Amino acid sequence: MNWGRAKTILIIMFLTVDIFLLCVLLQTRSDYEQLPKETVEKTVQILQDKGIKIQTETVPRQRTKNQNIVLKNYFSNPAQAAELMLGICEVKLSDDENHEYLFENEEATLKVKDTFFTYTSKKKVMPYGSGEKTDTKIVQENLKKLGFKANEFTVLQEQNSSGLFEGRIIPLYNGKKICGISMNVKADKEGILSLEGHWFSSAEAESYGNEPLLDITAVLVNVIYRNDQWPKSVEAIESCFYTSGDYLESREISATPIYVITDQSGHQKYFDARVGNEIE
Amino acid sequence: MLKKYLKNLLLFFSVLLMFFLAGQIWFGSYFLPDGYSYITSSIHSHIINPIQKWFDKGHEAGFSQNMKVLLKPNKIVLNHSGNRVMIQNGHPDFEKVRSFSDEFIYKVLTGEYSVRIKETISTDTYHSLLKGKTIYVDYGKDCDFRLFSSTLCDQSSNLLSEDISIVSGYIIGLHDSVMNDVSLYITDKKSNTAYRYIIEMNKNALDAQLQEYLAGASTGNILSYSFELNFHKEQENSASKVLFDPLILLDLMPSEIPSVQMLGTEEEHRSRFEEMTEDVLEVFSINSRTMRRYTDLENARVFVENNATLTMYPNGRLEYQTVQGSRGLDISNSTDRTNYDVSRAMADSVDFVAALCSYMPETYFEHLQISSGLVSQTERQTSYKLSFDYCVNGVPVRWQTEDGYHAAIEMEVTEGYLTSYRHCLWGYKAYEGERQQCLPLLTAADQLVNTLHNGTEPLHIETADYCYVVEEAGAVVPKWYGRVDGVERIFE
Amino acid sequence: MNFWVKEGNKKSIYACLKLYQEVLQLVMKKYISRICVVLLTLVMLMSMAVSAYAAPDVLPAEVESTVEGLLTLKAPEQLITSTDNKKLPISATVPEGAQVTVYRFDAVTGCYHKIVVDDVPMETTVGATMLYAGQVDLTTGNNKFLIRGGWDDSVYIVVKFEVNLLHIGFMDRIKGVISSIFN
Repeated sequence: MNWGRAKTILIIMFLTVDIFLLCVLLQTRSDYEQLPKETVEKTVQILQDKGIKIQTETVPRQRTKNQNIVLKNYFSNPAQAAELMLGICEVKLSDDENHEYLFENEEATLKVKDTFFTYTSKKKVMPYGSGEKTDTKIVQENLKKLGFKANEFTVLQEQNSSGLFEGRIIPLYNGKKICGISMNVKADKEGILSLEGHWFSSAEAESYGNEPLLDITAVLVNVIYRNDQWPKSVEAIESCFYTSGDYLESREISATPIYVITDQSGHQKYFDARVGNEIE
Repeated sequence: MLKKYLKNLLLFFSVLLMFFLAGQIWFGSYFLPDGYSYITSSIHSHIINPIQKWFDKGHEAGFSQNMKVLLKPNKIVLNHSGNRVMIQNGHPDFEKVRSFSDEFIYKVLTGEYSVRIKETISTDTYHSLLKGKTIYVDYGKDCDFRLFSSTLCDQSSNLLSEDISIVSGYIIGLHDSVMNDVSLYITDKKSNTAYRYIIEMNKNALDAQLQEYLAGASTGNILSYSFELNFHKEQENSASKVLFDPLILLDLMPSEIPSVQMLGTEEEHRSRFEEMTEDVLEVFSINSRTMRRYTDLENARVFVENNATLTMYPNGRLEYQTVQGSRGLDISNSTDRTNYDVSRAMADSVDFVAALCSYMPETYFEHLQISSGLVSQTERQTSYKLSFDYCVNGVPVRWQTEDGYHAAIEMEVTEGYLTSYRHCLWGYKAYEGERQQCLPLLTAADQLVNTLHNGTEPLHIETADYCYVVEEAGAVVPKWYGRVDGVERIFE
Repeated sequence: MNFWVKEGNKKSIYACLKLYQEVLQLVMKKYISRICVVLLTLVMLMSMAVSAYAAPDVLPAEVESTVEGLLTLKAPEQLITSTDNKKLPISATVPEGAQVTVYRFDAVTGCYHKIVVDDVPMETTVGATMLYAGQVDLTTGNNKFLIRGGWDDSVYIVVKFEVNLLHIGFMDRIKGVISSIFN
């Protein structure tokens, strides 16, 4: 027997099989990471049949990873936080038993009670003029100066009140919002005047790759069984993370994946991405 | 030559690559979401478990073998010719004496020793026995007799079960006041009737054995029963502020017991705390993928599910509490929840505790001892509060918290569902190099009277033993504890 | 130990001190006598504070109580009993703060002597439970005891009781006879 030729044939055969298997693997992986187009279209059709206005493009096809985000309280070490936010400052109060702290320098004060903080700037207020447009970039720059990392927050403006920028800062993880945590900000045209609320920074992600999340289509289909006839129209669907307000007085919490559905009036509802129920 | 070698290598790697890719496709998360565990769990549930159950035919429903480890006598009192000694678990002779008495009662319960005569005796006669040649085995708590019998001889019913419903101990009498026989004395706590069973056996070997144990175990303490001192009854011409249960043993001299210290260092505890978290979550069937978790300001780790919360405190305390109105964690070994009596509650509870303790150091489980009563208060009772003590040399260690004193494990089970669980995870050991004085019981009772006596009715001290108390600051001190007017408390 | 000073004793101390002061004043100058009284008061108070009352070591056979109802004997229940047990538990009810002492009769001296075990006398001040408990060893034959409860040398009660320790062999013979009858 000509072993040389046999080997060559075998090599070609096995390599062909390998290529075939590789294609199958890549295809199944790609299918797994994306919702099939047909599924999305069918879901949109079902919702429209039930009187809910929704576009195919509104439904995100990219599947989200099943992971918990572990968040550490930014103010669990108040002295360290004060150093970042105020730089050199005086410790006016440091009560470890009652978790109450007060730091001050010439420019600002930082008060921490349990995990709730209040930062107040001592500078003169320079409000925006009546025709002037408020600028979130100023807030972003100032937040960076106060030690907050640029890719870990997003600024949402809510209103312009008496020439001052008023809004909320929401934490981000890999570009996704972490709902349930926020800081309220007031700023003038020069910088931040006050900042208060709770803040956490992400420490690590715990992945559960073996257990995929519920598809957004499954969550949307369940919406048609609601008694309150919500929503009339789906304007946006986002994949975010969520932590309950009950646990904000903690050193460490974990945020779980959710879907946020926004209706035509801007009203949002949160749905647990693992089990599909609405988060009250 | 080189070409041949490369060809072989290429062939080998292409075959290997084929298996690798096939494996990825089959066992990756794309076709089989749970990977290997889908196959292994199927094999387990459809093949291995049924075979195992077939071999387990002898296992009696509603009883756990773990009971034999956890149901231990609180103390054994040996009396012979004016010498009296009390020994507890941890005493060098305890296991020997316990085996000896266990063997005796096993043979009586199984019928190996035949009962010649059975009769009822008065309470005074029962008490007076303890002044003679006796071995008094005291479990310190009321126990359903069927459960007691199952624990000792694997049979729930026998000759004695028609007389006895609730038992807390028994006496082996070598010579009673009149007849020169070996007898077994048991009081049924339900009807308050004391029974004597005269046994057909040779007493001489028992007599010699008892004397040998006494000689070896002598401690020099002066022990008197409350009934010997008449502390159990009031006298007409003199009011009492306190009455003791007749069988409470009073040591008239202050005694010394070894100091106790925590096993391991703070650092070791912290790292074991971390290691145990996943195992504890598994035992409590907490789904780490759906639970919410956080660490509070006191560094306690809290895991929240829809119907329950599990908290692990840095001081080693573990608490599980279900939400009001929800059933709780299913710990039952059976799906049938009718007639959920104390035996079934105990079987489910000890198996659960054993499962949790399997993640702890080996010796931890051996230190545990059931401390709560094992009795159904009513016929329809389905909810039970059970507790287990961690003991060092037979002396329980209790923990002081803001809401009182607690045993190592306290749990509540309702129809096979665990509704609350509290466990202090750290173990303790005796530190022989240092001993602490334990006040005489009368001195401790003086403190109790100062605290509780209302000036009219006397206090009834139903049980009294000493324990180690781990105070909130961390110090471990010996104190007396017991049941006073139906309430368990520390004497202070 | 329960350290206390009765009202009557306080008055007598004051009377003694006053007398002493007058005597001193006769022989010494004013300021020296006052210093001495102060020093003496301090010494007496300190000695009162450190030494608790101790009952006498020996009591005559005919000793009687000076009050009634101060002590009630709980065990043994009868004043004259028999037993075959070498150890005898003794208990009594006594008001809180009173001192209880146990004595054994010595036929040689004809008096009751305080029982001492391992150099420790059988003497206790009773606490809030108002209960006293102790244990004595019996010798074969008649044993006479006295239990004394009191506040001091003037206020006390004594209860005398006897216990006959039966020979062990005698009891065994009785049991042997009875068991042979029934068997």
